[in-house]
Amino acid sequence: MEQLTTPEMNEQDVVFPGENWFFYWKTSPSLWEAKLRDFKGPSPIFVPIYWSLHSQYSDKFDFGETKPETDLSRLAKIAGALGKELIFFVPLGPVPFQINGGIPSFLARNLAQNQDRMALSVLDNSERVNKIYSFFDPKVFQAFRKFVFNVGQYFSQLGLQYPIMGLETMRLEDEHIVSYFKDNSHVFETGFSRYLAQLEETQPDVIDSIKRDAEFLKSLKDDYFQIIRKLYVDAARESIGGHWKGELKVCLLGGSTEDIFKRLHDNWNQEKDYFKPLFMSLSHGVFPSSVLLSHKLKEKSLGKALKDIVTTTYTHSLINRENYDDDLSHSFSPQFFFELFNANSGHFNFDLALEESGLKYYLAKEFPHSIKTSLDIPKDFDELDPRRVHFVFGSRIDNSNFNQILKLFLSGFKIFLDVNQLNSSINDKLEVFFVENNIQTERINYISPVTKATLGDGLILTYDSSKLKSTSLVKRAGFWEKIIDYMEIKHLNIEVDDDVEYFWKVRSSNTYELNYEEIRRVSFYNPTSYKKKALIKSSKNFAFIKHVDQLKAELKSTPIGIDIQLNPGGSITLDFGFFDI
Amino acid sequence: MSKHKTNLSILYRHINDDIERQMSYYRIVTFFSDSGKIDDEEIREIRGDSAGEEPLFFETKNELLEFAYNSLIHFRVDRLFILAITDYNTGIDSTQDANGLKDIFQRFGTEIKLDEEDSSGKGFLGKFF
Repeated sequence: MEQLTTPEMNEQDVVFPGENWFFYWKTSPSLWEAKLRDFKGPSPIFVPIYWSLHSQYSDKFDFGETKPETDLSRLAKIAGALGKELIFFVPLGPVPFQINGGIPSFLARNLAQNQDRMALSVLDNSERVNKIYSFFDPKVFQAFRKFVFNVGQYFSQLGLQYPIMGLETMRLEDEHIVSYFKDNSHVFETGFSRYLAQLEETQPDVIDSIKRDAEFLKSLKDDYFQIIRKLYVDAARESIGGHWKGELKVCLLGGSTEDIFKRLHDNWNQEKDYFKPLFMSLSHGVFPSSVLLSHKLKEKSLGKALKDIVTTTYTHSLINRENYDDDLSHSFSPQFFFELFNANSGHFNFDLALEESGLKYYLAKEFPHSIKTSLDIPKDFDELDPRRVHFVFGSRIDNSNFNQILKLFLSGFKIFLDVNQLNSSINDKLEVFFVENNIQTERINYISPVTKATLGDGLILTYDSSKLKSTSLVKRAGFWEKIIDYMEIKHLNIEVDDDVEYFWKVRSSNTYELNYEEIRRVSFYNPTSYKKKALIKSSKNFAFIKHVDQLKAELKSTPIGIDIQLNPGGSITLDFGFFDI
Repeated sequence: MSKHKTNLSILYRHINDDIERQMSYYRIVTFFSDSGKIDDEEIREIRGDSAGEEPLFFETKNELLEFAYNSLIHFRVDRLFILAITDYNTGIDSTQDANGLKDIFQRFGTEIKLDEEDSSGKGFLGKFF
């Protein structure tokens, strides 16, 4: 029978509000053991160290000396005895699921602001408003240094053998994943003015350029943000020493500016709205978290999707990248056909670049959730998947990463290079490289001039997005359809009703599956209150293996493919073997 | 005829530091009701010819208030609240929970009400819809 009242959160949900996050301050230390023992979610368990809890007053730190709930050593010992793996996190910016964004109240003075100068805040899962304070306040930085120093001392003096990572929280704003550290408050502006004054001394033309070019101003603000952010990261890394295991970016579902209003209204606050930030997090290599969302919102499809996606394998892939390929290639991980490289520092509007070229529209329609966005071209190409198409943008290319692109090509990777705003000397170098190395090239003019250069498996395909920009969206989509068709990406075609969400994962085939090159897994979710349909069209390169986790869903084989009916809240997962013929 | 909406709220920002535009103006940051965000197309519909290319931008505060008033007629409601971001920021400082947040528009914003004449017009339509 359906419940008529809003279910209250049980205590396990309070302490473990989502995925593998453990909020140790939400329960008595005497219950830590029971809570950790009962936890069945992905590993390792994430423990965000609550700055304010350990430092209520300036220069005084408590790690179990006064309040038992601050005794992280006790927590570590309990986890060790239970065989539970833990990772502790120190904040690298505001932590919105903690009061005042985690900072001690004596530092909570300057509210951070978004780009509309609106004070940043979030609703947590108990409908409390957590305000976010600026990390650009020099006093916050000074106190932060002391805090991380004390955390480092505490861990080393007690010999706690647990890793510590830096936690940077993010949210989805419109189409962008934005850090909560980013700020437009007067504290930020004051610091930025000082930065500009310094720049003006060495580069007097900077101020003139700002007056002419709003994008340049954005770029400088981004530089300043990165400088200050790095100060926090360096302070944490240096203080924590051997325990330091890098940074993790976490996107909080329900943490956008719009969400704060949306979540006040039951009719507006729809489960389906949170799939977008979930999928966007994955494509940006950011760990998604639902800790701000109520337990009720996660009872159906969204909760199922989170369980399917945020697995132990996925968690390890983000926190322990170097061991990922060796240990976990036989586990499912998100499937991406395209990888976009930012490839340089400073402000770059990926979204605009994709939108203007028509690529965004085309990929969203034909290959939803199949794009991965990466910051840099890695030095070690083993981290890259040679089956993917790698996009690089002309305005981001300098001599150093240009050589990296050529190496990628020579190593058999596929690169799509947008020559719009590509430095002319680099363009010339590319031409010389083709000639000097006898690289086979073909040139056509189809909306944009396109050059295709191949060497073994390696491919460089150049196009000019400025030429695409001036044509209709239909023409741009047609351009990409032809170009991507040429790549012969083998994938199953799917048609779904509106609001049905689906997501692909992939893993290598094992010794019992040698007929297949890899196993692809697709999961469907119906977060609506209506019956919905999906159709997977048959393809000669794929064999249906099995379906799993069938919940309020039916499937039927037809001559065209597999018909799926999803009842409200329904979900189902299907595995296909892929063989290249 | 547009659907009746309840609890309409407008949050706006006065912008006077836009390098590109070189002028001050008002911009709607969000416009919503109980059932969700009012989209740009609907805002364009309410503004009619004055919407231009960017329906969320207003040259003067009077234009913005006039739009708010026309929204009452469009959505067939008696009142709405309009709030500047600076006032929102003041309000959020003393807000602790979802209920407090719900009240911010009423506590710190301006109430826009239909006058008598338009109210009677709405009543007339109300007989049929």
